[in-house]
Amino acid sequence: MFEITRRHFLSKLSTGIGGAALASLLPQRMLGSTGEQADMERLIAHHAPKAKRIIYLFMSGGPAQQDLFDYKPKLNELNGQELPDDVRNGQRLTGMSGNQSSLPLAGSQFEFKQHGESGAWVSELLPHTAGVVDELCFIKSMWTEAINHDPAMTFFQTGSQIAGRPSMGSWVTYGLGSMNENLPSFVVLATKKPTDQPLYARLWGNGFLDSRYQGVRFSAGDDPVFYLTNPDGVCRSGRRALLDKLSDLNRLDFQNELDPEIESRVAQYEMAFRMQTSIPEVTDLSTESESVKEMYGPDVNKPGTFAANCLLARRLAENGVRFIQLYHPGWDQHGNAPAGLKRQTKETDQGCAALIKDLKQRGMLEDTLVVWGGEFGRTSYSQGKLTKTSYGRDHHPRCFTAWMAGAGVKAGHTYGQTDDYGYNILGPDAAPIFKPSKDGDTAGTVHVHDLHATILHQLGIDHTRLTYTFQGRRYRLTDVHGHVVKDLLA
Amino acid sequence: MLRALAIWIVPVTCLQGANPVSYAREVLPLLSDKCFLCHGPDANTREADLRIDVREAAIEAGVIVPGDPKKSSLIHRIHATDPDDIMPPPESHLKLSAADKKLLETWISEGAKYERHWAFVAPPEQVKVPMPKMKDWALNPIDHFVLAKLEKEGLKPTPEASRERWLRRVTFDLSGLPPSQQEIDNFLADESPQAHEKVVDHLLASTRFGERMAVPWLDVARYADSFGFQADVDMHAWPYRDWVIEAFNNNKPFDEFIIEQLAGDLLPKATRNQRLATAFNRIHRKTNEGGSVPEEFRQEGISDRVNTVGTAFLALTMDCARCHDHKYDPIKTEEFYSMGAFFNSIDEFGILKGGQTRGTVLPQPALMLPTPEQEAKLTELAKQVEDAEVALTQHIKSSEHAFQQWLDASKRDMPTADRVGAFSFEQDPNALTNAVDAKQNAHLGGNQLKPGKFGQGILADGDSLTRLPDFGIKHADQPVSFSLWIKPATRYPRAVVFANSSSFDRPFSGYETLLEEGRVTWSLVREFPGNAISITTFEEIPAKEWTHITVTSDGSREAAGLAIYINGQQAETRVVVDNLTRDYNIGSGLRFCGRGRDFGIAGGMIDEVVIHRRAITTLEARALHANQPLAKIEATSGQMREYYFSAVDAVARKLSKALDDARAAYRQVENQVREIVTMVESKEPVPHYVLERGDYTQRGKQVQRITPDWLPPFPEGEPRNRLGFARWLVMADHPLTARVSINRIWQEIFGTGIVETSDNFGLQGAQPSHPDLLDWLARDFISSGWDQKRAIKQMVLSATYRQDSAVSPELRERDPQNALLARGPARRLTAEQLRDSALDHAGLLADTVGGPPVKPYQAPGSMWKVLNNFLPDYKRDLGEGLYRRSMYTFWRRTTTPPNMMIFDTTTRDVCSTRRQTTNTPLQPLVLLNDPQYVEAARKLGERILREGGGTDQQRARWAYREVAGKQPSTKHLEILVALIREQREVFMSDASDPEALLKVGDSAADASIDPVELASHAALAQALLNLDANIMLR
Repeated sequence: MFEITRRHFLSKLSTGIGGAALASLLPQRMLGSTGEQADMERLIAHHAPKAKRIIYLFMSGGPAQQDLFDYKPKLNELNGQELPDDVRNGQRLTGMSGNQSSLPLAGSQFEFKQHGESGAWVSELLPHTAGVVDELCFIKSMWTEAINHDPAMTFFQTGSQIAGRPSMGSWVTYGLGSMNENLPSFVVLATKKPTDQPLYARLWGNGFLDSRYQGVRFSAGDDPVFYLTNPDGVCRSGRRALLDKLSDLNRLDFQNELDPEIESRVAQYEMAFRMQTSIPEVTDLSTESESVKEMYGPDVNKPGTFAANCLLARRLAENGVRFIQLYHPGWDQHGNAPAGLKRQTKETDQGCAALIKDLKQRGMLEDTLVVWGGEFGRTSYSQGKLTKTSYGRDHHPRCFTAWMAGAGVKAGHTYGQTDDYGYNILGPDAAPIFKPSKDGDTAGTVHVHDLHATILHQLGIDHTRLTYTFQGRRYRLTDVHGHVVKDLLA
Repeated sequence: MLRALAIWIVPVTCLQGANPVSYAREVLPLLSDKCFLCHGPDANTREADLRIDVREAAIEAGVIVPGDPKKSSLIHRIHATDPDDIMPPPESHLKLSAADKKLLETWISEGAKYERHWAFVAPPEQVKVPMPKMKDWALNPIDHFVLAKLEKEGLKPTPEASRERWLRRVTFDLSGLPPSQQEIDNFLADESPQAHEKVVDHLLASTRFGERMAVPWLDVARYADSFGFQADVDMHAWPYRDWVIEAFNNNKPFDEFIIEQLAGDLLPKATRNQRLATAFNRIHRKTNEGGSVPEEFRQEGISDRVNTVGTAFLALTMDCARCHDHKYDPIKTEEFYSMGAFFNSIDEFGILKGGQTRGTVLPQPALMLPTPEQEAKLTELAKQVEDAEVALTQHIKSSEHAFQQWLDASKRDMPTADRVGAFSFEQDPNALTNAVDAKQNAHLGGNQLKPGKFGQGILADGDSLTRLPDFGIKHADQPVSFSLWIKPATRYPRAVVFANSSSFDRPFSGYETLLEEGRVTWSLVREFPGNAISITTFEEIPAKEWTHITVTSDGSREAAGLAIYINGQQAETRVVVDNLTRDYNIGSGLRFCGRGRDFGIAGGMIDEVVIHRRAITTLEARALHANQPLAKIEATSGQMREYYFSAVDAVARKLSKALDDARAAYRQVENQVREIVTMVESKEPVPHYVLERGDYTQRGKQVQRITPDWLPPFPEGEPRNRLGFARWLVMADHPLTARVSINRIWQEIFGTGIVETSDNFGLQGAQPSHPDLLDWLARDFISSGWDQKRAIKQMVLSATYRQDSAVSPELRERDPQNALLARGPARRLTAEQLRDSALDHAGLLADTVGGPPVKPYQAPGSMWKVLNNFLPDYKRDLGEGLYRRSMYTFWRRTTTPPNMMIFDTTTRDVCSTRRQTTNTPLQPLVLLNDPQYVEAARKLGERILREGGGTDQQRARWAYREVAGKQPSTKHLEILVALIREQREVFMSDASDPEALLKVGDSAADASIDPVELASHAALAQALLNLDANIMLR
């Protein structure tokens, strides 16, 4: 009918043909000079991927490592004593606790036990997660540069504290394209709860990438995606009839304009129409068996809870969604950490564990990468007054815990260690590392860029080659840093 | 290596073509992209100590031997096969094509001439307009350039578009809205040679023009209605947005447009509007997040200004030089910060007032924007304050006899007038009794009672706060005094003695007394340092000893009205700041011994707190220090006089009260006055430093206000400030500003700039498609007095713009981006244009220009509070707010309106000069299901039924022309009629509910029309709004 052009081809990215297939089909002469064109040859799987998809469980607010996974008996012993200066070592504090006259160490109020064959330490707050530790790979030595939520989350989700960069999910869909024809490739699910941990659209934004790579947020309720439902009074067959006429008209215009963009738009209308069926189907959890629902716990029946979102994440994964980003806010325990942590873990523990078990049972854990973690950790000293029953913990970027599971990650493994205070990462020589390098040459530490590099690696992408030229510069998710942490990989 | 040489070396004679290689246009972009990362301007990452961006260095290193590629190691290395030798190295993932390699060889064999990057050299003063062969096509000089290029490429222009097509194109391009059917009729009927020009003049004269052109500028200025971090506090900056609209409508010369936004406040006799324009540099994002480090975010703000100015006027990626020298362009890190030194000198605080009262005080300094009524009222009330001051002074002057009479009396009355609080801290710690008013007690709040100066006093732990009521002290114009004994435990670097402040974090607003390295500081603060009065003692009070201090304020809101007494003697003080122009904003009460998230007097003690609602006098301060009744103090007659008129004389006290009332009346009106963040230059330049690796904690060398040395020198005689900087930008021979500006205007009209990367004219930017045209346009722009309307008129009246955009597959294949302009422009409507035109077709569009942002329909899941509990609920407007132009939609940076973001609006977080135009499945969902569009479709359906004639055929024709701006073909018409009939069937069936559809949106459906008819024509309207003929501007 007409010669296929590059632009038309690119538009197919969102309608089914993945980036890998695309790049191989694209004639070399179509590679021109603009950002996406120039970087086209950098797309696609650079090596055999272990992960086909990723489910990222983002714990917004910064969970306290000392109360969940990073067992510190010595800290408990030192409870109430001042944080030694040589442990703090000039570390900057936030204005929330930095002006306190005292920084008393606060041990955890929760009991820790070892679990599974791997013997991983887990606090009593996470009984369900404790049951799947042999599937998990703990990273005790995560660190970041940001100390406030907004920049820290933006950093974690986009690789930069500066707003306006593409999110991780956008990079991945840009690099790998779509695996399905009736769902978005990058879906965002946020737990529905009143919280002082705001989420920002930029966290799943496309930055300077094409907006087709932006995350699509599914919300709990009648209209899971903005404007998905037909207007009141309009039936599906009426809409179908309208779309048929619309595409007849558009095809007519195509004959005059010969612009492949028109054909592409017709395809988008078809995909939108399919999404109107496929999204309600995939978000309808009622078809799940009782035994599965039981595994996720009673919350699963309440739309918008973390448990329901975990189950939905599994369904999205089954249906070809490449990047599934969950957010669970509320991990910001500045005051009364024990009570806050009890609430947070109750909301999330069972869902996390069930997701792992569910994926495992279905044979999907092999090629699904699950990541759990927040934007930073929390202080080992108490923000506000330390009492017998309570303490608060301020933001702490210098060390915190995350875990990964599935898709070629070492199962039942723990990487990295922290000092007795849970304040600094320890190197292989057990000496505290006060100034780790984000260029990936400080052994035992995992910077945000390193985690990103490792995630991309599991998806088959060399993080140094997934680039996009914007304003004359080749941008990467990992900036000019990051290294794949091979020790995390099986 | 020798073997390899034999294979690749091509005889030099074969390489010499007709045209010598252009370094600036061909070689430099290649070297920049492939080599400069390691061998370019950034010394820190330079490999092998080799740079090839400088000719001498490359020659000296033997990399380039001019005229002799064989001897040039550059050529050896690019042809090497050994991974250790080949350049660029494999790990860079950069590759040179065979053509690239050949180009470099040719260039070296031709002598390896270096030139400066084209964009850093001023356009020639005279640009010769070419004379193409085809004589009957060009309408103005633009066409000469375009045609000459087409002829060189062996191409011909596309025939002129239909008149309807041109009219739709130009109407959208200049107003953001479609032409009405009446306007189409008028234009088609106008056979005069000036028909096109008349349309253009009409469009340029409409206020719609300013609204249309403001949108891309607001993208550049990253204008939004909120600050964009965390709680995303409202910014109230819309008066700036309206300034922009007005500037475009008044055709403000673009050089003035630049100068006023960068330095309006520094212009001689700056008007309020000129000051308002400087909001441009203050509407960047700003955080309120608790615990943020102010200096970190102050530096972020300054960098944002540099980046925005760099992108907006210079099209340079300044940000790359924030941490290291630029990798491609000659921007040194020091130059990044030297530019910052122009934009850092403002008495600002790095973060925004947070806490429960966030949003009550805008970042200072800010410009007050009284309405004319408020202004008149304030003038009147200011006069009343002045009169009251005069009355009091005159009374005192003329009442010496009354004072003498009182002084001579054997039994003088010496009241402790206006005392509202007196605390000795002797009582039950749970209720520390106020000796003046037992109902107004204090609470220890976690501190301890210990033996103090007299009896018990309070021992502070540094974190706990002893709470007192506010005693009605709520405004900066209320006279007040605080007295107490204090025994610091140490020489605190900073410790709060007492304060009543709103916000639980810096910046605090309210009043406060601090100890700073022993000195006593007393301040009334709206926001420090931009709006406050503050004095500090030279004298240090000792640690571990009891000292009595009294601080007073006379309510004048001037630093001169503050006083500090140490042990009963007025202390000599230094004015820290004296710029309080508005009331402060107190918190929930008066707190002693510290302040939340601030340093307290840890280990220190206080005792005997006394509070007056009056600025007490020396005599009284002495008495409090002496712990004696007033009568027991031996005072000078001056002290007695001062005391008498302050505390005793009935008339003076009445006049003082009248003065207080006049000030309160003034303040009550003043508190209603809107304000906006603007630039106000500090008295002295604020020192600025290179920040190593961009880190705010790593201060390097101090920098001066210097523009990059590879751009024109700073104009002589201009001040080294923002004003001089702005005038430097608009110098006639500046190589960038005019080109960058006219290129962006071109982009708005033709869809793509002559330099496609309108945000980057640096070495990595795109080459101009028509370099001479760009230079000609830039010179023409300047010589016309930076006349934007004239420039735009010239573009839209050109033959180039009038071409049809329909294109053969061959031409599309040859030039997919239309860089050669062998056809007319075609682009998708913007998010704003799609929504505005739908409202316009529906007859719903409101024509109000400017004003506060509005809140139209929003998808349930995008409501503000859903994702951010700090935000208010999105409460959508009723009435006109639903139907205003989209540029007035409230732009909340963290929760951007999805129905606009889906159509590629920018987030307005940072400066942006270009939008994408994408084509995604979410777009149909918006156009078909968003209540805004559904309502517009059903109102358009009503218009079709009312205005479109009596038959399906007539209506279909009318409706198509309304939306597409042209007549439908027979085939179009057939399908449209079939659509109406089909939808009629659908809406008569049980599956559909026409009445439900007609309830979507607030506007009532016309009850006189049959619901099935209305619904089926709403469906027709929906189809039309989703047509390519609507969505695309062709």
